[in-house]
Amino acid sequence: MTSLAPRSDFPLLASAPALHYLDSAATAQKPQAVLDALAHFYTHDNANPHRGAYALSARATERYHDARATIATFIGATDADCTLFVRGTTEAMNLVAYGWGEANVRAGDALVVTAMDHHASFVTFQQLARRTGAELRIVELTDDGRLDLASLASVLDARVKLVSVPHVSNALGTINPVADIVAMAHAVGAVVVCDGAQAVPHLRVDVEALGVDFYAFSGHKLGGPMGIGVLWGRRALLERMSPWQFGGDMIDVVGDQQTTFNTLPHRFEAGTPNAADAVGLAAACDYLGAIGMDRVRSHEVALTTTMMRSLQALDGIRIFGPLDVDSRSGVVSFAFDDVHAHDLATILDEHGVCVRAGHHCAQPLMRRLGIAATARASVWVHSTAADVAALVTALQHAKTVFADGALR
Amino acid sequence: MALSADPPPLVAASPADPGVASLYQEIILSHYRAPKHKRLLAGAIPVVEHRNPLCGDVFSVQLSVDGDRITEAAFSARACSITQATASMLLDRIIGATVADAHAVMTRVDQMVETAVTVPVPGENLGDLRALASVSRFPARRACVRLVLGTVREAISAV
Repeated sequence: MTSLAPRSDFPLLASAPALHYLDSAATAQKPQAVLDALAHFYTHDNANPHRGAYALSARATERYHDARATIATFIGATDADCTLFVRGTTEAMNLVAYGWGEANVRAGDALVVTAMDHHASFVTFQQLARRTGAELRIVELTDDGRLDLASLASVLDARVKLVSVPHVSNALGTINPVADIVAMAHAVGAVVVCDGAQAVPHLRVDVEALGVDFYAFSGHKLGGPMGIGVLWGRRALLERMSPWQFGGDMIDVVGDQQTTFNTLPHRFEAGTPNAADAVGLAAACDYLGAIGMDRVRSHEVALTTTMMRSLQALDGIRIFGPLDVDSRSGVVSFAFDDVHAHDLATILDEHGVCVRAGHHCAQPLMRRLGIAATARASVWVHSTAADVAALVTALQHAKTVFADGALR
Repeated sequence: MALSADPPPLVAASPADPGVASLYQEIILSHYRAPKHKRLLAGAIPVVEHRNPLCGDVFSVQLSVDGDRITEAAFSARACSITQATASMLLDRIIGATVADAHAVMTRVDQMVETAVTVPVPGENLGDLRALASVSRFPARRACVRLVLGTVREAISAV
């Protein structure tokens, strides 16, 4: 199986032909188009947006504005001003917790997270619950690593103000039935915030069709720069939210004792905006858009099928999450022969195979799986069957290194 | 910061090569497979537990000191081979040693995993621990050794 996107699109991969980068779920390699967009902005368009009356500043403002429109379209948002730039998914979740949560959650209310939430949302809403005196309720998983919708139903009642759910689990790869979850949550009047960090790079995402109230993702996982991400929210919710960071750009009139605030999206983007990285992220959306997200998904389904079959053929492998490829993304978490995930990752590294080893910022999930860590291989547009074959060869080598005697 | 003109290669020249072999030497693997002092000590000896927040590993030590001498020590772990082998080798070395000697040994191990320079100090008798010099080539794994050092140091100071 060849790659969907040529390796030559990615300068880092092109310069390291023997590297098998299977850690796109942690961060994606960057297409040349993104690096070019960043360089172009700094070379030709760099000025402080929204500030100067001169042409260059106007151009920077326009680039920033255009980037927002491109990204909004990419995720199916018709109202680009509801697409807020943040540092990444983590900051997006904190914006929801401080901007929406502090005003809407009271002692006696309940917040719902899932056992597969990333720490970015799990810890953020756990701490919101602690600050406000709300109860934190956790949706449990089925044995094959899906959300247990019966468990969700059992924690939903009129006290629930917010439900947090990952679109795709970063540790298991599970694709969650977000629209169904939204219907259940809305039936009790709860707001739904969805972590799309592992979805936007791999699936066609339409935030309006999903029906969620907030949707967050990180730019660096879809080939954009680090330090830029998006929180999309419903206008009706965003307009009632107080700013959570204050400063330049987000104000309307500043009096000696009080201030009125700017309109969306600026009221949530205090300070000089990260315009260059927004432009870079828009270039990443354009790059993926040109390939086509349906083709990205088909490629990843085919490659994930190959990877799951190859791994399952190894003695001593344990794959976490659904075995049905239609229910999962190109993230495959596994344990092998009781070899600790770190030991696996070290040996794989010697073969040029990059995988993540650890708890994947999902300690509540790891506790439920009864393990400290997993190894996780993840694919993207440049991945090939050769990458998967290298993974399998390296795992076989790991087996020989640790072969003798009873492992503990 | 100057950009490196010639960054080190991302991929080892030959996979089955001395790299992994030198980290997973037989000494380290045998301590991992059959660790010494991996048990729970009887009596009310407090357990000092540390975690590596980056990987989720858990390591704990029990240790008793009589006068200036470590008389008993044991560990338990949900951790990788490097952590467990380090614990096995280190406890084996410091049981019966003075506290000062134990600290000296741990300082040496700490240096070894950083720089691999192991000019022997007369009388230090590092034994199997010398194998940990190979960890210096694997910066990501230094924390696996230091998880043990940090826990044992705290256990000694807590006595």
